[in-house]
Amino acid sequence: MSKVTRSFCLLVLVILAIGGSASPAHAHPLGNATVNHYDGLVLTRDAVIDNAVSDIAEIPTFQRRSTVDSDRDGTISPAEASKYAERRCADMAKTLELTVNGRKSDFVVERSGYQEQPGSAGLPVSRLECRLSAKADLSAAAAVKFRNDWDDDGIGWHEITAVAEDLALVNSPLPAESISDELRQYPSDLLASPLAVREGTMQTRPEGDSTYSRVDDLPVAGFAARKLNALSREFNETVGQRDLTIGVGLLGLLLSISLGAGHAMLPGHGKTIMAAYLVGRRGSLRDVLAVGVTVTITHTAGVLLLGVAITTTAAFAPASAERYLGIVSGLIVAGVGLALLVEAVRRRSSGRLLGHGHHHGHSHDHDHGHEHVHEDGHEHGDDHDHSSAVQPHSHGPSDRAFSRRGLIGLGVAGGLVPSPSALLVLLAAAALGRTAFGVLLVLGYGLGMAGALSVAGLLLVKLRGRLERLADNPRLAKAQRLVAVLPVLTALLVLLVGTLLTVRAVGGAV
Amino acid sequence: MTKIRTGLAAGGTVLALAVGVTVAGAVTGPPRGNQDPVTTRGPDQDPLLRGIAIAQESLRKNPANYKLWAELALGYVRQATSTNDPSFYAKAEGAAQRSLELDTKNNFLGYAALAAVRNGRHDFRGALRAADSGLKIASFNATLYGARGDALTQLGRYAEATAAIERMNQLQPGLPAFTRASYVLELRGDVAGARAALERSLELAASPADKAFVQQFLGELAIRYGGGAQKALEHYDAGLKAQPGYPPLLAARGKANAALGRIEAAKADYTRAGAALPTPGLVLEYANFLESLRDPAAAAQYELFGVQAKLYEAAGVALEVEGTLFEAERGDPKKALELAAEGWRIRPFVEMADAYAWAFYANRRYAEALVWSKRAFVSGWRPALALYHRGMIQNALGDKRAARADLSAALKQDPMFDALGAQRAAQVLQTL
Repeated sequence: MSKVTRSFCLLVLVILAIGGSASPAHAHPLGNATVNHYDGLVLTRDAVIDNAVSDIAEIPTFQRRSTVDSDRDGTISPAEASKYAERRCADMAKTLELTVNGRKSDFVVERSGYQEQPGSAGLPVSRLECRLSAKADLSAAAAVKFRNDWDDDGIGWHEITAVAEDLALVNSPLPAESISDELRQYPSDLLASPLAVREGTMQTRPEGDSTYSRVDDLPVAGFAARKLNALSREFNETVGQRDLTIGVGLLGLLLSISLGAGHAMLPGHGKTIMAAYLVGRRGSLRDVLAVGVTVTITHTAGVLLLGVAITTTAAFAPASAERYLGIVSGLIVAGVGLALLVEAVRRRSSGRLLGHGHHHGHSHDHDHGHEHVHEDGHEHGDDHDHSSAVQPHSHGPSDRAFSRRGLIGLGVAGGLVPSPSALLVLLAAAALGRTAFGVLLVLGYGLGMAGALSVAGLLLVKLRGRLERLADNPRLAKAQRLVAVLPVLTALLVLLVGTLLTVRAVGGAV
Repeated sequence: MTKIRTGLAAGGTVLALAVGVTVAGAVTGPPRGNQDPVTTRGPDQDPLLRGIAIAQESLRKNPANYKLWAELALGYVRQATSTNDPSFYAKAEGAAQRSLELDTKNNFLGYAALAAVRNGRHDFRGALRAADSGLKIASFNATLYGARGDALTQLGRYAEATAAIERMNQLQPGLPAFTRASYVLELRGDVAGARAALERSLELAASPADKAFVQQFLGELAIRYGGGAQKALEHYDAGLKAQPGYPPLLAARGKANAALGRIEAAKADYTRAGAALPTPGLVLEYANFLESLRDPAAAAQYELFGVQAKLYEAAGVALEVEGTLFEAERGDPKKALELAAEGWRIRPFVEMADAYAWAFYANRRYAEALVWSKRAFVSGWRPALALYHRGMIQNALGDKRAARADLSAALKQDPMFDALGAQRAAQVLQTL
């Protein structure tokens, strides 16, 4: 009988007994032969920091003690501990692998510490803490890859977390928080395996530099966004089921529609809000429908085309396609803005003064503000647009023609860049051999988006009447004068947003 | 509902496949048929990890699926042995119990999982009860026969164990059945049969982990029964090629290198194995090796063994064979006898009988030692260490002829059965 094999079994047994019995307070929950590792990554604009921890159980602590206790007096003096920590952290820094955009970056030790703590049977366990940092230029979008294979001969827990400061993390597979409280408390859920995370690859983007693809990022602030993320996960699970019944199919479709609607409501949808504004301005049900249909068709077609491109050509990079679509989208918005500007200037110069000017941006805020709480300044500009928009109803033929084109243009812009989640759904469904269902889901997604926009538009139509009455109040005469120049400002803002979107898309941040 | 059930079935099938490769049996008992090293790391490549993940996910949605709980428990047992991470045993036990809380009427798989966990915890009687409860439900289940056979082996009921393993081989011939059959044959003294069964297993071993596992025991059969250290080394190298760095193989190769006089290579192997998985048996073996070289580093290894013993004691667990042998050789002979008695209660197995004999020898109670030593040979098993012990006991009793026969047989069969023991055996032989 093999001694080694058998003694492993005994080792297992003692560890079990320690873990299972009630009395020993300090037993290492993962077994007293483990060496456990944690890396807490902090990504900043110019560096990657690793707050690394090793939790070393009784047996390896004992095995390593002779190298810590350099003067062999049986105790670990503070000087010995700090010297050992320095050496170990330097060794760790050398072993860790970090690449930023494919280029290797080296860690240096900033701080280190080593400490023994009481473990079971009167034996110590120990904890090594290293603060390491590596230079990394993350001021522009970057891909960061991290791997820790240090001190990994034996068994143990391996955990990595990642957070960003002044940056947005994209597609990070790593959680932001440690589930073991940095190796102080190991979860004992029957349905969770000990962590074995040794690496992670993620993208970073300078904060606030994202538009709609932010939707997929988990750390979007706000209650609504969190809800939507939860909904997305539920959806992915539902649609990802191996077996599909009519009930599940309908549920998936329903979820898809609500996801689309939620997507349209999320921050970054400046274009769609603008479409809503225009709808409010024009006010007819047909216009509402026009925007809805345009968004749906554009979005569905866009996703389908992307899906086909991805599945048929291996070399196809969805990111670059998104970028081009982003450029086109931005240009359309800018074009609409330009057209609006031309129109507004023409009107002003032709002496068409406002019949009604209104100060009601405030009330508008209330009606609409909750839908885009975290909108940046540009979209607040839309609010003002709207206030100026409730205007005399001059419906000359050319005016109407432009507006319809503008509406459709904005609808196209709104639907043009496919939502990554919709694309994923399509690809997942296709992978499961249910392409038709996937198409249906994408269609539902577009319908949801369109529906949300249309509802917003209809609300504005309703509002318009009230606002007009409010504006007739003579006490608001001064405001009316201000409002007179607002169409021009509005047009300028739309133009600005369009230009910004285009520039960003060119820069790679969709 | 249909889709959920299908999803679960899919998860279950994956896990069943993974578990089926080496159905978890007595994890700590017999060396073969129970350990199946898989140190693969990505859940993407490892069917076991994937199966476990799917089962966990499915159970989160439908926690009432007793079959899936049982399969998850078996998966955890296998993961504990394959990754050498014992924290999985607690999970395995919890999952097995959850499964049996949900259903006891039809849940033979739940009993199989419970039996595997109990074998792992050296509760062989409990394991036997669980396996038999399962067999009342499903008399055709190979996994249950495997667990029953493992428990019976460690309880010293060799004939019944053989019958159970034979039944397992009829029902589901495969790696788990063949490796267990090999072990039963070795215990009966049929080394050629044991080797043949392992060679058949090797043909079936598909994954690197399975190959490493079978090579390890082919090597050990070779080195322990006169096949030579060189032959063993070839098996170990083949195994390590399939599964680099696997600690039990490194430790085994350390011993083979030591037997071949390659001191530095042996030290390197032992050190690597010890850094990865310092089991008490490995630590003691390495300590004895260093001591046989009069290397002062031996002290630290004996001290480490002491630390491990302390941890066991704090946990209220007997170190059984290793603890008994250590106390008999270097510690407190009285304590050796206590440990032996306790060990025999848990595990009335040939190896334990041999350790018991050595404890009596250390206490100079040679007549009792000889009685226990004879018990070590009842199954037909005759490893060099037991021969050496018997030879020394007979020498102490004045039976020089028998002593000479046993000691020279031990050295001929396995010249490095134990670094210190082999030295002493050679010294005593010169006086005879």
